Formats: sequence, C-alpha cells, structure tokens
Amino acid sequence: MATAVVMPTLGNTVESCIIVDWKKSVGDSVKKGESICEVETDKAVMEVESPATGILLARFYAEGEDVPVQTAIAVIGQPGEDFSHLRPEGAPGGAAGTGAPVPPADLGAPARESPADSRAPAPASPQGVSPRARNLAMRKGVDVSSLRGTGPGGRIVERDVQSALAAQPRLTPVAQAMVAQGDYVIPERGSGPGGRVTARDLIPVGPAPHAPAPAEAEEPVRAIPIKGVRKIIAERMLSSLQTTAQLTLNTSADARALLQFRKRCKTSPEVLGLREVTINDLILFAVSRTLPQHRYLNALFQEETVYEYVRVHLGLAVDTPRGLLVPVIRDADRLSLRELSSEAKRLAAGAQDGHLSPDELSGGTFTVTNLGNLGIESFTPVLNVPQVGILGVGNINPKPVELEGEIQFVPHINLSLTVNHQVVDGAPAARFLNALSQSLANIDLLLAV
Amino acid sequence: MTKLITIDPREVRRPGQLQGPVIPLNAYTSDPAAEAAKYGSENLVRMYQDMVYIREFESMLDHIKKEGAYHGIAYNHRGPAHLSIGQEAAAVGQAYHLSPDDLIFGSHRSHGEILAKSFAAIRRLGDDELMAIMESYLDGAILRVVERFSRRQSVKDLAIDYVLYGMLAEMFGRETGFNRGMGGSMHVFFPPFGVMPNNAIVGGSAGIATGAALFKRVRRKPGIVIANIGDASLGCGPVWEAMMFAAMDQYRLLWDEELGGALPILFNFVDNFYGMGGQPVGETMGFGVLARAGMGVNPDAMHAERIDGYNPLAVADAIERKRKILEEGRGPVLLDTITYRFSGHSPSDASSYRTKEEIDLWRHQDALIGFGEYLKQNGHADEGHLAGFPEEIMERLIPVLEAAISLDISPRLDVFSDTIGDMMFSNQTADRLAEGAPEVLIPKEESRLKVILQKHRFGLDENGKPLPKLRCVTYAEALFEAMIHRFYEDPSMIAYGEENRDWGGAFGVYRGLTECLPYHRLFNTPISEAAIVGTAVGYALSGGRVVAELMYCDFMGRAGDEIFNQMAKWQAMSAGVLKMPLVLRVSVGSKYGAQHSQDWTSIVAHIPGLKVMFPATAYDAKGMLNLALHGTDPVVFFESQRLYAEPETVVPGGVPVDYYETPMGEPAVRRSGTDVTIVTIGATLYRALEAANELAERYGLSAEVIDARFINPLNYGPIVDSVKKTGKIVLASDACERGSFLHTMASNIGQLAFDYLDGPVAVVGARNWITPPAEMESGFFPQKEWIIDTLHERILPLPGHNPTTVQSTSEILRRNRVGV
Repeated sequence: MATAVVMPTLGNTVESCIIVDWKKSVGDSVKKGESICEVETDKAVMEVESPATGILLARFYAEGEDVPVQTAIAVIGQPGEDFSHLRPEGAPGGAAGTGAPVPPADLGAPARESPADSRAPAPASPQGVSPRARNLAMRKGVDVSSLRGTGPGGRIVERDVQSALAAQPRLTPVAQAMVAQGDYVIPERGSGPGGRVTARDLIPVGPAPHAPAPAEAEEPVRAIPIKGVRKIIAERMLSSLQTTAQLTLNTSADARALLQFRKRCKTSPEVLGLREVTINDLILFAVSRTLPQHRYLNALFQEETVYEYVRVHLGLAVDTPRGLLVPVIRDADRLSLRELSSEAKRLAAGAQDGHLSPDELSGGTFTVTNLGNLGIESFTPVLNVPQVGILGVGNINPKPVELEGEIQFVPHINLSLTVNHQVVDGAPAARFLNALSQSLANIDLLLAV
Repeated sequence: MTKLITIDPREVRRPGQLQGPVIPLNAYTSDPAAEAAKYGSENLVRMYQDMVYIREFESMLDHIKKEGAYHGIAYNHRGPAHLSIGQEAAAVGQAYHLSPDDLIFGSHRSHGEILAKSFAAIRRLGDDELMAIMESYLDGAILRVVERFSRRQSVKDLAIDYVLYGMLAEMFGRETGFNRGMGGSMHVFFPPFGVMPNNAIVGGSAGIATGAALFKRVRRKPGIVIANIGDASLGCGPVWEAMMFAAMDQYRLLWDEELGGALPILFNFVDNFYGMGGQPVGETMGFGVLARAGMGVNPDAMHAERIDGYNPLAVADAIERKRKILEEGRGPVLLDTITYRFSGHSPSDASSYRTKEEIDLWRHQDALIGFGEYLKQNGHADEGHLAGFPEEIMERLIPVLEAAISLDISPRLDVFSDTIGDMMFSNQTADRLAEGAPEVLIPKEESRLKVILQKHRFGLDENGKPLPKLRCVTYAEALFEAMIHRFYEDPSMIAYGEENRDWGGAFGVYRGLTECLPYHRLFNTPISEAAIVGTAVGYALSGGRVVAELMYCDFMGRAGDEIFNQMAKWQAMSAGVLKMPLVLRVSVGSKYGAQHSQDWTSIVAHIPGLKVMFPATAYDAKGMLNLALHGTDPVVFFESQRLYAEPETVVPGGVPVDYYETPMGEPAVRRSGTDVTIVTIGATLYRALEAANELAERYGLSAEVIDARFINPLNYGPIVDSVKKTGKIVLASDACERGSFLHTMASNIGQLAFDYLDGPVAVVGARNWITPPAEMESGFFPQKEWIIDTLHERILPLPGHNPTTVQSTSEILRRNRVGV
C-alpha cells in the first residue's frame, strides 16, 4: 500500500517548511529511513526520512516551495499503485514527478478550505464579520469561516463567536496561541486531559495563497520570494522594532588586555587548547561573567512579566548563507574559556551548514553580535525579542587617552548595547556596559576569578 | 410688558396727523473766521495732513494690489483691500471730537476711520499713557518691531509709526499685526485707541456697537459709540433691529434716571451711494435720502441729518452736536454722511456700474483739493507746506511697508501648530467681571429661592416612586438657581430677551428675578433676535457678562449672522484680545409644530468657536449653567421645553443646594450596562432609559445609557470606553437625522473604537420632515421603539422581537434617495 511522506512538524512554532533539495527522483527506490529530501525551517535545515521502503511514486511539491507541516509531500509504494487519495488538496499536480523549479506565479493558489468540519455548515457570510467578532475569534482561536452569523443579514457578530466558544472543546494555551495565528482547525475532541485540545491535536489547513507576482517590469529582475529563514528574520526584526522601546548605548573599552591575552593564547602550548580563542570568545566570556551581576539584562520580557535568569544562555549572531541565525550557548556562565570557545565554534559551524536543531537555536537570554571583523566601528543592534539586551561589538581602534599627563593612543574596542527601555532604563544599562568594559579591560584578571 | 404702562384706548383711537421733525440736509455753513477761532491753524492743517495719510496709505495698498509694488517695494498681497480713497474727509471729520473713550465700530472699508481715530487718540493721550499702551498691548510685541525701524524721536511720532505698522502687518496676516494677523484688512482694530472691531458682514457692526453702548450705560462708562456702516446696510434687517433696540422707550421711561437715559449710540451711515455695485438710491432701495430712515424709528427721527462728508468741518460739527445729544441720554442718532469712493469696491472692481464722468465730477470736488484750497485761502498754510505732505508721508510709509512684508521681522503665526486652535476659546473662569457690589433690589434669601429651597431636591421617594412635581425642584428652577447665583456675584452680568422681565421668560425660568434686579440688569427686548444676540456680542466684548435668550431654538435663524459670524468668531479674530462671556440660552420646543419644535444643536456644532451644551437633567441644568456663567467663552446653551417642569430623577441625591459645576465636556453615564451603549443628546435621554428597561426586561440585554450633555467640547473617552465594553452603540437625539451632530459622533466613534465594534454605529434622529402637530409627534421624534428596532435591524437581531417601526438599512437608502 502506498505510503505518504509527510512534512514533519519540526517545532511548536513551525508552520511550514521549504523543500530545499529533493534527493530522490520519481522512480528511484528508497529504503525506509533513507533521506528523501532536505527541508528548511526558520531555524535549521533538516532531512526528511522515508517512512517506508519502495519506489518514490510522486513528489507533490517542487524545490523552493513552502509546504505546511503535516502535509504529504511524496508517496512511496509499488509501481502502478493508486495514490491519488494521498495527494494533498491544492498541491500543484503538474509538479509531480518533475524536479524543475517552478516560478511562484505558476504554482497556483491552493484553496484555503478547511477539512470537513462536522460542527456547523459554513455559509459564506454575505455580511461579513464584525470587527469585534473577528477580534474575539482571533484571540480565542475560533475559525470564523465555520460560524453561522446571527447579525443583520447574517453578519457574524460577537455572540456567534461566544456560542462557538461555548461549544468547542477547551484548548491548551499553546494550542490557543497556534490557532490564533491561524491555519489550524480544532478537532472535536482533544487528546489532553478531559478532552482538552493540545497543540498536537490541531489540524493544519492548506498553505496560504501566494500573492500574485509583481507585474513584469521592463528590465529583468530577480524575484526572490521571502520565505524560510529570511521570512522569519523579516518578521522578527520588524516585530522587534515595533513592539519594544529600543535604546542603544555606545562606549568603548580598553582593548589592550584583550589583544595581549589573545596573543598569548595564539602562542600558548597546544595542549592547553587555547590557540583558537578569538577576541569574540573573550567577549562572550566577559559577557557571561558580567551578566550574572546584572540580571535585569539576562532576562526575557513576555506578557507584562520580566523573567530574570540565573544561568546565562548566550545567543551568538551568526551570518549564514540563508541569513542571520542565532544559536545559543547554554549555561555560558559555567563554561571555561576553552569550553566556551569550542562551543561557539561548533554552533557557528552548525549554523553555517544548517544542521542545528531547533533547540540549539532557541532559549537564549542575551545575545552578542559582532561586526567588528567586518570593519564596522559602531552600529545599532536590534533586540532579539523577548530578550531585553543585545551587545553589538565593533572593531578595535586606537583612541586618544590621557595617561600619566600625556595623550596616548590606546586601542579600544567599540561596544553598543541595545536594551528594551520598556523594562530596562538607561542608567542600569550603562552600569552593565561599564562593568563589561571593566571586565574586558581586565580580562586576564577576570579569568582568574 | 410692564404694568407701569397703560394702553389707553381713548388715546390710541383718537384721530389726528403724525408730524415728523424736519431733517436737515447739509445744513452746515462754513464760517472761516469762526472755524479759525474754534480749531486754530495747527489743528486745521493737521486734519488735512490726516486726510493725506489716509489717501497715501490707501494708495499704497492700491498699488500693491494692482501692481504688486509701492515705490519699488514688491509685495504680493493675497488678501482683501477695500479702499476708501475719496472718503478721507468723512473719517477725519468724525475723529476730531472723539476721545479714546469713544468707540468706533466699522466695516470692511474702515481703514480711513481707523487711522483718523487712532491719530486723534494719539493727540489726546499723554506720552506716558501712549508708552504704557504700546508696551502692554500683546506684551509689547508690536512695539519691539516698530522700534527696530522707526527713527522717530517723540513718543507721538513713534505711536503713529506703531499704528501704521500694526494695521499694515495685520492686513498682511502677520503675528505682529494688531490682531496677530487673525483679523486682516476687513477686521483690524485696536481697542486702546477706541478702535473697535470692524466687520466684513455688511451692517454687522450695528448690533455690536449698540451692545457696546448698552455696556457704557449699564456700567456707567464715559464716551459714545459710533457704528460706521454703509448706506447699503440700511437694507439689512439686523441694522433695523439694532436701531429698534437702541430706540427702546424703556431707557428713558423705566430705567433708573441716574444711568443717563438712552444708549449713547450713533449710527453713522457712510453714504457713498454704492452697495458694491448696486445703487441704493434709484436702484436697490427707495428711501431717496437715507436720513429719512430716522423717521421710521422714533419721534426724534433719531436726530437724523444728512452731513456733507466732503467737508471735514461739517462732519466734525455734526459729531460735536450729536455727541451732546447722546451724552444727554437722548439718543440714538442717525447720520447720513455722504461721501464718494474713487477706488473700486475692491481691486477686482472694474467700476462697470458707474461712468467715468461721474467719477470725474467727484474728483473735481475732491476734499483734499477743496480743503487744501480752504486752508490756503484762509491763511492756515501755504502751498509749499501742503504739497510737502505726500512725500513726507510716503517716506514714513516705506520703512513701515518694508518691515511689514519682511517674514523675518513680521512672521506669520504657525498655522501648522495649534496656535489658532489655542485662540478659539479663552478657556478662563471669572467669578465677576467687574468690581463693586452687584446692583440688586432685595437680598437673595428673600427671592424666589425661599420657595425653591423648601422643595425636594430629588424627584423620587425612597421607594423610587415619583413625588409630586410641584413639590420638587424642577429643571427650570435649577436654571433659576444658577442665574441668581451669578447675578448676585457678578455686577457686570445682565440678561435680556423677549418677555424676560415680569413674565420671567416664556417658560418662567426667570420668574422671581424681576423682583431682585433693576431694569438695566434684566429687561425685555423687541422681537429682534439679531439685535438680541448682536448687542449681547457687543456687551460681552466690551467686558461684561451677558445672558441672551432666544425663546425658541427655531428663531436662531433670525440671529444667524450674530451667532455664526460674530459670537463665534471675535475671540479668535482678535487673537484673544477680546473675550466673549456670552451665554445664549436657547429653548428647544415641542408640540408647537414645524417652526417651534426643532433641535438645531447640529447647526451650531458645525460652527467653530462656540461651546455647545444641552443639559438633560435638573442637576445638569444648574451645574452646566453655572459652568457656562463662570467662563469667558461664548456658549450656546440649549434647554428642553419637555424638561422645564421635570424634577431630577436620574442623578442620585438630586439637585445640590450649594454651588457646583458640571465638568466641561464630560458625558455622563446615566445607567451602567454591558451589552449595548445608547448615547443621547437632550431630552431623548428619557426615551433611551425606557428602551434600556425594555431591553432588560424582554431581551435580557444590559444597556448602558450615556447622556452626552456637551456637544462641544466633548470628551469621547467615556463613550469609547463604553463601546469597548459593549461593542454596540445607538445614538439618539431629537435633531433631524440628516446632518445631525450624531453623525459626527458616529464617525468619530467608528474610528476610535473600530476594532471593538460588533456592528455599525447606528444613528436614530427625528425624521427629515417638518414637525407635525403635537398629536403626531411620536411618528416624528425618536421613541424607545425606534431605538430598540434600530438595534434589532442594524446591530443585533433580538430573538422574538417584532419591529413596529422601519429602521432597516434599506430604509436609509430609500429615505436618502427621495430626500426625506
């Protein structure tokens, strides 16, 4: 019997994945557990393994397509088997069996219909939905398209959403949040305690219709659909700036000790394992040791509450071919310089080739981003919400300093700290930045602490 | 309306003939020797010089408007310039005998009168007084500019530069103009010199000047008031109304003699024979000689005369004689001061309505030539002396013009900030606008208050059952309490309207005030709504608090200009120099058919510059009238005839005995609820409360009922908060639905609470018909059923509800399609 290869759910917040690379073509034989394709989530590139042994009978989506999780993307079976029942609704039939990329405009718009819903018939409400009803529905995760409106002319009004809420099974908070974001249908009964619907029980609906391609310009252009990692970055950056009050403080720290220590590491005995320590590693180390005294910056701000963390989970901004990724060094405050350095290198490499797990890409409490090696003096880091602080590291420049009665040029490293002014004021932020400057200026002593 | 006057049929039915007094025409005869002795050469030459000032000033504007430059100084003046070239002698002759205490109100063509009056004031004021005026007016802002360019040594010379600059900067819309650029050419004025607002509405100054004269009488101030209005304004009803108001017998027959008799008002018709292009004599009116109009006003024929406005000495003589009449309390006076303008009505005027020959006839009689010859012939000045004036004045005007057109020296107000918004209201409070003890006839405690204070302050007993209305303080009595409080606090406060004294107003609100107040603080007027409001504007801008009453809201149309263009505008047009402590009480009727039952709150809501209030409960009747009477802003205060006899039944505790004010602009939640919001204006509140009861009883819906109380200013906050809670809102008032202020509210609520709305904001107004007879009113004014049916049809269908009225959206379409 033909078996569907389903786009796996790769995390609670993952709604869809992009098929990056088909490794098997239609007609290839495939073993159970063998990789069929690579897919990209917002955080990592993962492999999809074959659920069965057989022949790859069909591929329902082309490379580059954004496919909702839990959707069949291919079929494994025996030649001649009927697999039409496995074809997802709205999947572009023409793409089956071809590996050729198809421009987005030709993909067709999968219908956004819900799977059969046994509750109420879904009359297309000619009067629409009142703003209040729509808001309540979004907040509570009610699919308005399934409601029968009782307002004038069939308009869906608040009371219709309220009756639906009264009738529907209770949802866990996670499930509620997922539904509120859309594209899920709530089953009649859930698998949670007392029939509560959990995130797992939610039934995803088809992908959102694609926007029409822009009108053909006179000059050739390269249309790049914003999806996958880029889409997530786009959303998060905008949301970060729109939902927080960002304040950036700039300073520079005496870098003599940093440079000196790094030099010593490079020439240290190999057995110590410190030769690969970079300036950035030293900064990560200093941050991990300074943050615990300033927990208000080692914190998340979510829904009116600030969660201060005891442990430091340090986000590390990494530039990758797919865009910015921020893997997280867990318990950075407990790692020695050598451990920190090697963990940072492992995560950076993983980010580069897209093989990090979602777990390795989440859970940070503070982030460090370094553009100094690209020659940037100073910049304004954008908060990695819900974190409340992010340190931007610029390059090292000589700075005139009055020392012992004369002006000397002392190398300084530029630091820019962005905080969420909603919960962290300028003065405490400045205190952290000063303390960090002191830590960096005395990095050799810090290592002895 | 007073028992003091008996109408004896034997007297009024007796046959006879009515004889009018003889009206002199150009009766002045020149006696050079006497004139030389009276005025002296210096003053006679100065009159001539002032005429040249006006001629040159107006010519400068003419050049700027027509050629875009004056002596090589280019400027594009976009605004108006109604010039008085040719009319100089009439202005200068008038000003000669006037002191700064004498006030002139003018028209759009008053530059000459302003200059002449200002120069006369400068001559009469001491240097210290002049400096004090210039240093304090607008905190010395204009003086500081003038000091930058003026090379004048003497204070009087500096003051002349000050006047020229203040006027010109005002005409060019500059912050350093006399009225910070908010008045402009047609409105410029300067109160310290007795130059009061000039009006761009033809005849607009008649009522306002009469009100200023009323202020002088009531407040015992020295000086006379002149309304300079055009000959064509004799066709304006409000001008006649002002003359009727000014000619009331009561000043001399009923008011305290020591006040001084009739109002010191002179209606000076600047008779240049044209109303724009129409000719009052021979074409657009039929009076023949304008001075005849005095005969239609009172037995003295207003002491009317035609004066030769081309001879400054004839004009000066007339003013001197008429001022004596006014000071003796024998006014009003009418002057028909004939003159002629060489310039067009405005720069766009091609003079297509008159011949060049006619203009030439007058040019040959140009007063500047004639009076110049007179001075030379009688040895007051030689040719060289007079011929030097134009050049001298031009040299003085050039630095004034340069300063006035410079945006650095003379900037404009920042129209993109809220500067003008800040000037729309003075937003001040004042317990009293004059010092001294208020003039009253009995102690307040002995007034009608004695009876009112024995009544229940709340209209329901402890079980919520209504008490007998006669035993409770009513809405009308609550208004009375506010009125008497302020009357006994503020000596400047007066009130008038039709049947206000004795009767106490058609609805008895003032019943009992007659016994408390002397005539001049509470009196009856002719049925002249334009004069009632227009004079109140003049009284208020002179510095007194005044309550004018319109018996029915429907009569507002009769006072349209006075409410819309005068009462509403002068605070901002004066850039805050003037205040407008005028409360216009307007009674909204019912049961009296099409012309006595209209709620016109929406009409005034549309006019910037008015505060608009409409209390719906006895508590607010007192609290809101207290608020209005404590402020310095113009308030149109609507009252409902449905409510005058009603006690307080909504606000717990009823009407407080002590003084209190309702907070400005704050709507009141009259009943809390969670499911639907109903907002009302005025007496519709009670029908909304009925609807709320029915919604609760029959449909289990909890309605929140809000009484807007205020139309402007209005804090939408509580309304929006309510909508956020309920998601549904119906607005209701007795105003006709089309163009109702409720639609403005609906639009604002829709924008402010869009995401919270569970249905469209629905408006329930009266039908767009005439008001039918009392027995049919329930089909015209919103009823509780209309509110419930509207909710059912447009927002939230009520299970089992059978609408009895048609409130569907298709009905909205139909009604608008047919226009009803």
